Amino acid sequence: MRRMSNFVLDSLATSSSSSSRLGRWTVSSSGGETPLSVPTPAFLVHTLGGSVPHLTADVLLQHVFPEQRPPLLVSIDNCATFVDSVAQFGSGIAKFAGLPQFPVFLSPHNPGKKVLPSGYNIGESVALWGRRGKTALTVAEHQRIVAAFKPQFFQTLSDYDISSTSGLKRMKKSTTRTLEFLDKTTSGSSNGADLFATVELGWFKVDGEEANKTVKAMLTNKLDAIKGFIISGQGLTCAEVYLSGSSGRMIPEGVTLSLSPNKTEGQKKGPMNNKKRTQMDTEKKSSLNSTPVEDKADEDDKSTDSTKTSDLDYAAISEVVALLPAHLPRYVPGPLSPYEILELVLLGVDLFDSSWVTASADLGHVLVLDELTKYFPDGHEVKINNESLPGGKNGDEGTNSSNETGCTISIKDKKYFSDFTPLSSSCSCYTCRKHTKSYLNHLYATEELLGPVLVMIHNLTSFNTMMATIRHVVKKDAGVSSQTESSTSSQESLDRLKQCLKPC
Amino acid sequence: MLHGLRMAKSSPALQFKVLAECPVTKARTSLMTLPHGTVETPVFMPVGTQGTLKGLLPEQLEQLGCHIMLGNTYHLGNRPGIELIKEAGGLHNFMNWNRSLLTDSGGFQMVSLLELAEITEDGVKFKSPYDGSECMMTPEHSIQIQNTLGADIIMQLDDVVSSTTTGPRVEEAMHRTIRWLDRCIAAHQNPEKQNLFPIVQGGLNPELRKACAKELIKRDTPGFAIGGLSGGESKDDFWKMVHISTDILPNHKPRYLMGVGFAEDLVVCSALGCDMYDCVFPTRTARFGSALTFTGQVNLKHQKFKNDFTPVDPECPCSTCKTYTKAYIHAIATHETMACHLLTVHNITFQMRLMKRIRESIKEATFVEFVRNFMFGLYPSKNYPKWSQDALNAVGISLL
Ligand SMILES: [Zn+2]
Ligand SMILES: [Zn+2]
Repeated sequence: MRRMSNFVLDSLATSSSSSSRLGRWTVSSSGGETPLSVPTPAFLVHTLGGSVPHLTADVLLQHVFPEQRPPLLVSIDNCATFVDSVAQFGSGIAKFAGLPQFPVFLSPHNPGKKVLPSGYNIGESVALWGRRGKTALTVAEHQRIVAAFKPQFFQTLSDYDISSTSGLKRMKKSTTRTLEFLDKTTSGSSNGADLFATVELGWFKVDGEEANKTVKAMLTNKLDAIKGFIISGQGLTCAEVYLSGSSGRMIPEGVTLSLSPNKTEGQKKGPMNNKKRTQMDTEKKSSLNSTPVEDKADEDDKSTDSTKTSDLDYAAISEVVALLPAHLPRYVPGPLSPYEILELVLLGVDLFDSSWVTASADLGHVLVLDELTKYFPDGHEVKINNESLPGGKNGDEGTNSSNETGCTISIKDKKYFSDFTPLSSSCSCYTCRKHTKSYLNHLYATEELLGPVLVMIHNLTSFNTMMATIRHVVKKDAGVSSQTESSTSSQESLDRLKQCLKPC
Repeated sequence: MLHGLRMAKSSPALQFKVLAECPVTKARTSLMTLPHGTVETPVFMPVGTQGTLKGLLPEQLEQLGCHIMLGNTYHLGNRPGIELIKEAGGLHNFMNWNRSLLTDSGGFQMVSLLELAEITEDGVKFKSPYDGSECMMTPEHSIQIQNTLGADIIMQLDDVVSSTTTGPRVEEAMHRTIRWLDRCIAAHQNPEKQNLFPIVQGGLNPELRKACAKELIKRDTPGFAIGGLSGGESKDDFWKMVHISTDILPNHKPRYLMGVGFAEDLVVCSALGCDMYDCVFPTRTARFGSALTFTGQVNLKHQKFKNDFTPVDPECPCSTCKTYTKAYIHAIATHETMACHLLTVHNITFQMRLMKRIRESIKEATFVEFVRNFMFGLYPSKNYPKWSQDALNAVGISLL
């Protein structure tokens, strides 16, 4: 089998403050043409049913990725109904979905849906939750799908049914089965795709020692077969992955919000989670006619606490990262905000996905990076005199929305009704060049399909800008930068970037 | 040239130049120059009800060859409201569409959407769907709103009755439509930038239609619409009313047949001398997974497309047909908005291609042949509907 990818670390950070690293991920495209080189940290482009949500291939190629070809994150759960068609098609999922120019990373579960129901991973299979309910996926079936979809990378199956409230017995079952899945997967054909092994964050919440042993077993027995790691929180309730207390941050649809933001960490996973899922699926179904959900803008605004930046359990993720070999890429899936992505980059995570962007477009949440692009135009830094760092609390910043920091605005908010400025004054994407906040506010108010299309274009573009800027700062932090812009120290740059990406 | 001169006098905002006429039928192809550009007719105008066309970027619509689209006054008046669009500098600016626009009067939507709408001599009385208060849409009010929206073509408020209504109500509506036209003309503030079209009414009664058309053409408006059809009447009545109306309406002005958009109707009515059409059908049917082709409609939700790896129409130049297979559209048809976008792109492209073929065949004097081939494509066993045979016969085309 030809080698599909190669991960080369450009540098290891020498800064004592962070474990961040820069890399280059060489990927052969689906078409088998010239290999693509993806600079990391990077994000995979989240898809549903093989397509970037709301964007047809021509719009995606013209307005979001005219040159770049980042890998697409395709999930089996939302393609489950047409696996046989892809198999018969014979040229893989990317071509089937009209995006043959892009490499594919195949995961079992949509990272945009964090909470998977408990109690269904039985026998030799794990449960997938798609539009038509549960599908039991065995390793053999998984391999058949990998063969049909022809991804460049795929994630191994894991027994994700593990949370901090799981007993040791359940935990051991999860680790044992996950190792068995890995074993079976590596002994079968890789179908020419690179394997990313799954490490469940939940293990570390139950028994660190046992979790350690499991990861070491992978490294000892399967290191040759493994081309990267996925640190997955799939089986954890959102509260367990993200929340350490009450939170009012803007969280994408059906992901963590409203699960019970007032409860504290370690809450019981209840039947409510299942209900939530079903509801989510129903919403997805009906989204053909009306994408946006009800307007929560006011609520969000009121409860947003600008001092809170994230509820991600960085300690646990850090613990996992420490166990993983440095020469392989690490991917943390899920709808992570820009600030959280930055924090994880500093912990040494290389890959993310844009499921946050997908969820935001559905909600009408718009990423505004005006501060970021002011300090880091084109991903590079400029010194701006007589200006203090962008403040955390912007109570007195007045009406000009361009003063908002690296935060999310809700375009459905009434205050944008007659705002004839672009979504972001510093963005030059199609949406910002052509349309006003007022028009977008109208499109969301009338649930017109063009609303999420335009917000996807803008948010994906902004996500891309954010990632490039993060790479720039990491480069500086790692001392790789050959530039003479030494007016700011790397620590200052980092602090500035953090401020810029802080939720407002 | 003569046409141009005459039009310049009656409307500074519309020039209508007939390029070619079919020697057999009443079909013609023309250039209609509006403040936002020139439109080739016969033309199909996609309906962008709320200031957007079903998920397509304005740029995509331009690329598909669309030169004029519709906005609905009633919907835009509700959301975002006329004040905001005024502040934005008109509908063109608000939605960033720089080609031509046509707005309707809002009357039809009110009568069909609001149960309690009541027509008086003053206007359409209705209860606000928001606060229940009593409102009145008068001809003056409709024109005032449309003046603010700023479309290239605006429509008079007409007294719409269901096309299946009979009796004195139809006659009353016809006369009232004429009285309202005069009020609309008087209220129109921007005749140098916007063209006000009157609407031929008269139900399914040939005498009323004739009387209405004859009365309307006394007013020197830049173009005319044929209304009150395509609402459930028999196709037999439908084509006759169109035929009667186009016989009376002047040759040197555009004729807009409202609410018509099925391929067969477009071809037949172009043979009857109509120039402009609008319909939500191509975009609405896209939402239900249906693709339009020259051999009829194809519903991609059908199981038989599960493993069909060919495009919707191999001849179609649209981005959907160039990139996607039927199998993929089938795979995502019921749950991803993408499927809707893909089919909207294709269906609008189909409408544009169809109209282009009509125009080109008229120019090349092969329209009659085109009609025969087109009908044969739709009905390969030549089981042509009686109405279209009759309609085409009336203008000299025999299908069998
Ligand atoms: Zn933008
Ligand atoms: Zn097509």
